[in-house]
Amino acid sequence: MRIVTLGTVFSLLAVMPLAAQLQVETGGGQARLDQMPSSSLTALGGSLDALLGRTHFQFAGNADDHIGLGVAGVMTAGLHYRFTPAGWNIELGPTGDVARGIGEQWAGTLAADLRARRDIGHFAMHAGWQQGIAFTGSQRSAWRRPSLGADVRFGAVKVGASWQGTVVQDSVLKTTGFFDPIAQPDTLYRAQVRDIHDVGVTLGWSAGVLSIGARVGRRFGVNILPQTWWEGHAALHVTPIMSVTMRTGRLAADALLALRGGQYTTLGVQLDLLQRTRPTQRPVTFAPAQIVRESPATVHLFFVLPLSTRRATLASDLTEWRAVELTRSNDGRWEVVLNASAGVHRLNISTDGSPWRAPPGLPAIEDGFGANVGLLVLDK
Amino acid sequence: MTSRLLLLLLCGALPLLAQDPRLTSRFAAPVALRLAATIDSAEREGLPTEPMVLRALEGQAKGATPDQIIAALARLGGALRTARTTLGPEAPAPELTTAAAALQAGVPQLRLSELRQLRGGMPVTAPLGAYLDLIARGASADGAWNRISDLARRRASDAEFVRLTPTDVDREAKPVRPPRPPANQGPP
Repeated sequence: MRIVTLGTVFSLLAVMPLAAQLQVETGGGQARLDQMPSSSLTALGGSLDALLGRTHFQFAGNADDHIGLGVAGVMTAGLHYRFTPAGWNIELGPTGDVARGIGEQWAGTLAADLRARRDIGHFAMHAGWQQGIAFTGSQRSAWRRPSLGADVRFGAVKVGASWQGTVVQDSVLKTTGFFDPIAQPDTLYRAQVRDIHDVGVTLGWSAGVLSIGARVGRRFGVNILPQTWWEGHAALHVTPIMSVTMRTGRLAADALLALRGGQYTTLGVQLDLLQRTRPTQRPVTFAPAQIVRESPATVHLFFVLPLSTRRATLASDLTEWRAVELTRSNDGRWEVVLNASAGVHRLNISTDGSPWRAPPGLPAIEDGFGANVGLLVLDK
Repeated sequence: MTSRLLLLLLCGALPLLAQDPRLTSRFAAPVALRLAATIDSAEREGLPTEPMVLRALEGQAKGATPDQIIAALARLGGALRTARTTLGPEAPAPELTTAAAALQAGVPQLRLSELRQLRGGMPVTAPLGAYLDLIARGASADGAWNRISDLARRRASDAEFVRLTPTDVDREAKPVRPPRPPANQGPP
């Protein structure tokens, strides 16, 4: 059962010329797997997401000890070639999983993976296709997995919707009467196709030191039991590298890896030793500052800040010099929406508690207090 | 005698009572009183006070001392005065504020005056903003000014100033090198 996605980033990557995110997380709580009694749970996991040139490597793994029942675990890895034609972010490459559920045999998948994403302002859409084979013990099955999704951001809130189809072609023991080697000389098995659809919606909110996210969906299809799944998580970012996390959810079974579904609730600690922009969302080229006049009364500001930035605040004439939090957008930039009228406004930003400074990409002048201030020119 | 003394004390306290609540909420009373006196003085001259209040709040946010804030207000008041002298007594507050920011950003008063003449009765806010923006985005100050003054001379609309990019300035500033014949190829 894939219970907790845990993460950390190793500091050795800090000296490497790549965008990377490495996280580890540990926690504990209660879980109840399908068809099994509930148990206490301890979990440990980690993930690495690294981009070197056009090569994108991703790895994630976690082990969950269901006290008294056994240990379950799963590892996922992918190596993709990334290219960006006409504003699209397209990745192509092999991906694979290895897993073992409680009381189950080892299972694994190997697939070719094609995925595409396009960001248009606050709107993003994505699509993917995986085609591969799955191994469960000595059995093999073929599968494909198309997916579609879109999300839109309103300030600190992001909502999205997605669909994922999974078609598994495998074989099962024939159940129609006795095996007749004359009438059915070929095999004891018959082909079975399971057509699984997962449709879901997501909601995320992040402001300051608190991030909250949730997703809920419905699984249905052919040769699969319909069920509702959901997950929720909250993270309190205590320090730039440490967060306290709470996760809860009810997950559906993994049809490819033979992992049971179930419910879980955990409380944990996440370490983020190297926080950089997510490679899949890393902007190729962005101006240091972008000013979007969304209405005559508001201005939407985007800034490109150092990749290691964990927290950014802004103070300005527009905020009457009270600090307001910037939020990290999907593309890695930091953004804020302010009420603003036409004119020249002064503003400063601070990252991770550093002194106020002029934002990148804006004209900077001496502020009269021994530092610099940025000028925001709004013409209308 | 006592009633006169009370009246005097009350008159002395009136400026404090009339202070901007943003000042009284963020500064100690004696500091707020000093700031109010400076800002009231500017108001009596007909200068816009909102930028001065905001400058005081900026100083407070940055941990400046009261003396530093008073000095900053005095400099801003001077820039607003210069802007009003240059643009005329009828210049509206947003225009004065923008012009004061431009002066404090290093725009010479002479250019401000020239811009006023070129624009006639039209506001100078958009050209000044565009000028500052061009410089911020890497255009040379002289190149940007030449482009701005050209547009102002042609009585361009505000939208035309807004559309200016550093590339437009560079295109104007850099002489175009004529193509060389093949036989003349060589190091520049």
